[in-house]
Amino acid sequence: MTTTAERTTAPSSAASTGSEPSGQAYRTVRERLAPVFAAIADSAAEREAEHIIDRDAVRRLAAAGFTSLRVPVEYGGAGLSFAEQAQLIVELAAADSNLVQALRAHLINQENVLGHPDPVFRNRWLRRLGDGAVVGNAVTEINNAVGEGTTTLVQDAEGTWRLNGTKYYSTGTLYADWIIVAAVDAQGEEIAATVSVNAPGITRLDDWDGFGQQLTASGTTVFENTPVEAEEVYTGGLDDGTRVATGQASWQFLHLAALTGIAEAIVRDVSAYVRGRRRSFSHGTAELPRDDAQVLQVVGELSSAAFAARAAFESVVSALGGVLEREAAGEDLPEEDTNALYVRVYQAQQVIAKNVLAAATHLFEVGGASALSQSRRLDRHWRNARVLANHNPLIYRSRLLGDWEVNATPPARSYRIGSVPNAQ
Amino acid sequence: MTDTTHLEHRTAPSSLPTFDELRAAIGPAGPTDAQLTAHFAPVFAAVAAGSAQREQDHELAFAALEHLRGAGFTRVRLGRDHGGIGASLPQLADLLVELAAADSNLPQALHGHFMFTEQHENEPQGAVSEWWLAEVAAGKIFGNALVELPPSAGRRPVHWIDADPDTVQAAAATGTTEVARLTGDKFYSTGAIFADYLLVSAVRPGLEEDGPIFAIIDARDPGVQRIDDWNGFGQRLTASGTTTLDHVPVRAQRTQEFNVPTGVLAYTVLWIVLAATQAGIGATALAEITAFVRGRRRTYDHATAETPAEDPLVHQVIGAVSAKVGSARHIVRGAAAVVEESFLQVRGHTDLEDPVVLQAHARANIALSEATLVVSDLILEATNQIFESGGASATDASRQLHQHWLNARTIASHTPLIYRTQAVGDYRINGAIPPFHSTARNSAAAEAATPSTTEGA
Repeated sequence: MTTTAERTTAPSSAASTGSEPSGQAYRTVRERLAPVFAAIADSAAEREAEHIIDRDAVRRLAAAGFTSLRVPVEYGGAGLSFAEQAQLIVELAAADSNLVQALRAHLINQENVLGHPDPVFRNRWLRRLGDGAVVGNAVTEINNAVGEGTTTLVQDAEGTWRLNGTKYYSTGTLYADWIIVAAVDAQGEEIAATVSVNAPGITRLDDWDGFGQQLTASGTTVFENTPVEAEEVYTGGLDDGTRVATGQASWQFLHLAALTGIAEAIVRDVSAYVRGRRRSFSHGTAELPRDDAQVLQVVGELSSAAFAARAAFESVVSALGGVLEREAAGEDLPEEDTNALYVRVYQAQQVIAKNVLAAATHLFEVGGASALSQSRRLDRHWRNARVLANHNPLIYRSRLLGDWEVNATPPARSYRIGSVPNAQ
Repeated sequence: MTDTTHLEHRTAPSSLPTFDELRAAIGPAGPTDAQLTAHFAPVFAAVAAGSAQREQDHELAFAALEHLRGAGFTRVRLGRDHGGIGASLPQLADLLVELAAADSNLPQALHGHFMFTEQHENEPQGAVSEWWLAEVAAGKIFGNALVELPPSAGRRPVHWIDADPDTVQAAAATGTTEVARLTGDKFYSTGAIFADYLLVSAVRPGLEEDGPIFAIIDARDPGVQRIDDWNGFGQRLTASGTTTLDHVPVRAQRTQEFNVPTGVLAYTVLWIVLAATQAGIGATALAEITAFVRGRRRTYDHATAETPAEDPLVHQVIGAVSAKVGSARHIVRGAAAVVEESFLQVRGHTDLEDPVVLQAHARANIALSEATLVVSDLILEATNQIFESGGASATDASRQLHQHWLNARTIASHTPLIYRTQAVGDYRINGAIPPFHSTARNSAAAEAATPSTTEGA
């Protein structure tokens, strides 16, 4: 066994499935983003330890073009394909999975805008996104019945739309310029709106207290008589599952990107840790852990878990990217195609979440009590993955898959959570 | 970094059952499981009561330790003829699981006490063992400080300096013969802050090749500083930090052998403690997630029942977690029985190469390696799997449900599992006797190459 003393840096992780895009636009924007990602990765452990909601990081990402990767060049974006953007989202997740989740609503909105049938809406938002606007959301409530929100958006006597209510898990709103809000109208029908964070009557709190993904700024948002421009009101509400761009497949895709990035971060961090270690076990097979067959074998398993996650993720990228392209082109998608997409997304969720959670657990088998140190925060990979995996419980998704296989029941495309009214 | 030596409290246990009550109640055949369970249940309940708050405030469990001491927990395994209760090793393992369920830090903090008491009781080493066992019978707690970080981390190796003849004479006149002084730094001194005495390894400068001398010192000697600077993400209240020694006296008859059959077997007692702690962590994780599910009103539009408590998918998750936790307990108890037998087998055999010793060592070492591997896997999986039964609210930090995984992960990293798996495989394939000692070492080559780095353990 030779000591590869010259190896001091990690190999490029983006090449793990050989799918690195080669377009000029991609390479240009990636070059611009690389130092931003690096700075975010370097500060990730410390920002978590100090609980720093770093709005500047998001501003720097926006300035380097991350928030408008899919926006056409003529509007100021990078004009990348869905697959090209997906690579960069995973890279951001490997740097800090919090920021991918914080930008989840933003990225969904960007895709929504791109394929939106209303040219006025499309133009307005492409301009905003091209100018660097960042979007957050305020959708989920607590203490509501399943599928029944309590936040209202109704017109007052003067005809001005007014928003009232409290939203929880408002992911990314503290980083945002605009908030997408789900509400009900005077008739109790679902309705949605976008409001500027500078509108009156909005309180944004950083009160999300999860043990992972602590910097997603996913706290409470309170609206008190907040006025909403008529052109920002969308009757019919959000995410009814009819458009794939705003459906569960797209939302889940971003959690899967975050988890895939965590897998790459695990391989990166563990390799660096082993490379630098000078203490080994009394009956290890080599003087240094970096030459120890068993330590290397553990890292090989982590690398393979990251590959499995990446491969499942790539499968989602190609399926979802293809469907989104057809949808944006105005094609009426056959039910069977949409069902096939959802099946693939839910299957990938099982594969990715389980592989990443296992890798985040087993990374510590490389040995060493210093890997447990709170200053390294290597436990954050498990905590972050665990929280991401808990947003859409795996057990219900795998039941949907079983129901599809056994009974050909189309997998549910929407996702609602709420409280049972009469339970104790 | 704070010196917490002065923070020790001696809170008198209130109305909890006492050691004397237990000793008076047991018959000649030793304590029954039911007696032990009944005696310690209220004690463990008292330990558990403040556990979550202590975790939040990073407060070491001095009062809980006094409850344990008062109720006789630290002498429950000590033979009746030595003034103890005479519980079997499997019975002790069961109690350690229960204690870990109440506060997972405490069994780990007491591991040295049980490890080395087992050694002294099974193969007494003369005066030092007599003294040790008498102190345990009196309720004293033994800890240890054995691990060192490299000089490049800014730590001093612990040196044994023979006392000069004048000092020896002067000390002898006061009835406390002093034979040496110890100076240097130890790390990962698990439980040292809770202990009355510390077992410390030291080398004579220039005679490092002779191996370490194992000495027992007074934990409250003014030259001893015990610092609660263990900074791991789990098992944060085990008091496992730095111990510094400055001219700490070693009295006559306070050194012991470690490189003997019972010393080698002592590792398996450590692993019983660690596996029992894992099992206890799993038990509490199961109890807490079950309570969470029972009280949960939030559900999903594609769930299979009105509430999570009625959902067969949730039942299945809890069932799977329960299977892992329950099995872990059985494994720990079974493995403890093997160790108990092995200690009996080596009695009277002092040579490490004696075939009886080698066989007993291999049997216990393999049994405990296997048990620890499986229990670690089971509990790491269980403490991860509990979350499958809930949504985002299960991940609320205020519930502290993640602390179980962090604690289980920390224990699983104690003696790296990959090397023990390898040792089991080598034994099965080649009949290779497992290594006698399992410790981390600093690479001398790397130290020499780059003396300035501060890379730690």
